[in-house]
Amino acid sequence: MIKFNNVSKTYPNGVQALVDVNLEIEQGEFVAIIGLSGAGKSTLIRTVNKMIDITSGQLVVNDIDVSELEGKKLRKFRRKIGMVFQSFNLVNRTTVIKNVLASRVADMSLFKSILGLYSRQDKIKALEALDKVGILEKAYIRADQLSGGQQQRVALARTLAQDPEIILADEPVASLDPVMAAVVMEDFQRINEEFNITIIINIHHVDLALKYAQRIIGIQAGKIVYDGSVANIDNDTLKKIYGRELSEDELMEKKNVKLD
Amino acid sequence: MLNLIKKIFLPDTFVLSNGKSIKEKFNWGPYITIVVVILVIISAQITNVDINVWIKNGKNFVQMIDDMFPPNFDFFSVMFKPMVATIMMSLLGTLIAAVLALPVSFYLSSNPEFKLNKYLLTSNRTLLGLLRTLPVLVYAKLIALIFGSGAFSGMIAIAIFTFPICVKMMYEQIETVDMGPYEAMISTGASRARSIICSVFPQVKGYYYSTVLYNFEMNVRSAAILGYVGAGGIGVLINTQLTWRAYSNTGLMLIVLVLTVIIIESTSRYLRRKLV
Ligand SMILES: Nc1ncnc2c1ncn2[C@@H]1O[C@H](COP(=O)(O)OP(=O)(O)O)[C@@H](O)[C@H]1O
Ligand SMILES: [Mg+2]
Repeated sequence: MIKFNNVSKTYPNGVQALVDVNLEIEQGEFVAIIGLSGAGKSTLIRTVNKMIDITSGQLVVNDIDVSELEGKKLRKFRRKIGMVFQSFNLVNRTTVIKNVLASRVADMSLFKSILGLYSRQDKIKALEALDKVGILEKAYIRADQLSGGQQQRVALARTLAQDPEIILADEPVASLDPVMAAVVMEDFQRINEEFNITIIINIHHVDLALKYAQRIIGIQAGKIVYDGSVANIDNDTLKKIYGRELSEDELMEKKNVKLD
Repeated sequence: MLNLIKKIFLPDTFVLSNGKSIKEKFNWGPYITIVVVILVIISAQITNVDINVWIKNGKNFVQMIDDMFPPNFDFFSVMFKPMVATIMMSLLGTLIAAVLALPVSFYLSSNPEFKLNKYLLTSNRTLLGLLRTLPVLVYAKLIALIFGSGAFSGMIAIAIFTFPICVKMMYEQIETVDMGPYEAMISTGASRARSIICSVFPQVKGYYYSTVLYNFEMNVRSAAILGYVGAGGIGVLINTQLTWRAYSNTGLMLIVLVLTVIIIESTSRYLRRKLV
């Protein structure tokens, strides 16, 4: 479980990216975080694995107080939290499998990581992760020869090879076309259901959030302005989160969201 | 005339048909040209450039070249070992420098993601910059005084000279890489060193090997003269043969030296093109 108690984040330049955030996310939930650009979505998910330090309040993940983590303990904690990025963040010049194996390096000796001596077990684990996202046959191809959608699935496989309990995804489909975006969102959905992994996803496209997630968190200027199930969202709520009508750019399919 | 000078040295102002006016950007070009011309004249005076001397001594030079041919091929058995030593001391010196330079260059890269102390970074870079100011000949002389003359001193001198160059070339390259993969590695719980090895090094690997080759190329060329200050290699032999006026021996050494440098350079250039 992830628990935010009055969490705030003020950057050194004075920007208040999170203001008094209170949240509780249970193991196995699929949560979409929506809000305008600059609302604090990236900051919010990066506090969960302490890529960003909070400045006040308390953040507890699986009974661990995140603020107190440092050094080895912090690194061990991060092993259980996967992360997926908008720009995929693969090493382009190397093969797909090496990119996936990179998530096993944290547990290896420095000597073995310098020489790239991955164990047979690790290799099998990486191949299985690639199989889970349906691109096993691409294992020995260079990462930069894949399409954007395929690259994001490699990134997802890299995260899966880490055996995570939580996956944090920062705008994972923002640079994909609608077809690939749907494929990747379905991967997230399947992974969430099959392995009971908590998924927290920042997403710019509201229609995708409504289609694939179970729960929506709306954030505006660092404050949570909506937190509830997808079913309870209506146009007024969206207006409250965005401070205006949705623009076309916030919909992947470029048509109005159908709200029942 | 005055108008032309004005046009060259001062920015023009354009007035558009609707009355708006806009001033041209200031152009340093002409000023810099004048300074360079002045510097060239001054340096010619300092170095006593005198065309008459050139003509007179040119004749001696032509005579010396003439004496070098035909080269004495029997001398090859004598010069072979020092020649190999020259190449070996360049190779080993470059390799030692390159291996040490790699970790240090990461430590001196200013990528904010590495979270290094800014002041420490600047002071360490300055220290390294100081190392870079001395020419290899000075290091060779100093090292030869400490370790005695010989190829070992030459190797150490080359290593000390090459190290800061490699570090600078590498950290400038590291500062241009995509740091996204590094963030991804850190998020998996990997340490900074492991994250760098898996996400940053692969991006600069080709450039690194190319840097090593380039420095080796440079060092083979400069290594030939290190013998003059007692740092071993072919330079010792060239020095003695020249003082004995054994020009046909010197001729052979120069030919072998030129061929060696050409072979190493073209191989290295071929490999470097493949690497980057
Ligand atoms: N490293 C930083 N330093 C200072 N301000 C930042 C930093 N990162 C983000 N911000 C600011 O914090 C606010 C929230 O940013 P972010 O979490 O990236 O929003 P979002 O992901 O919703 O677009 C923005 O105003 C942004 O400019
Ligand atoms: Mg963001």
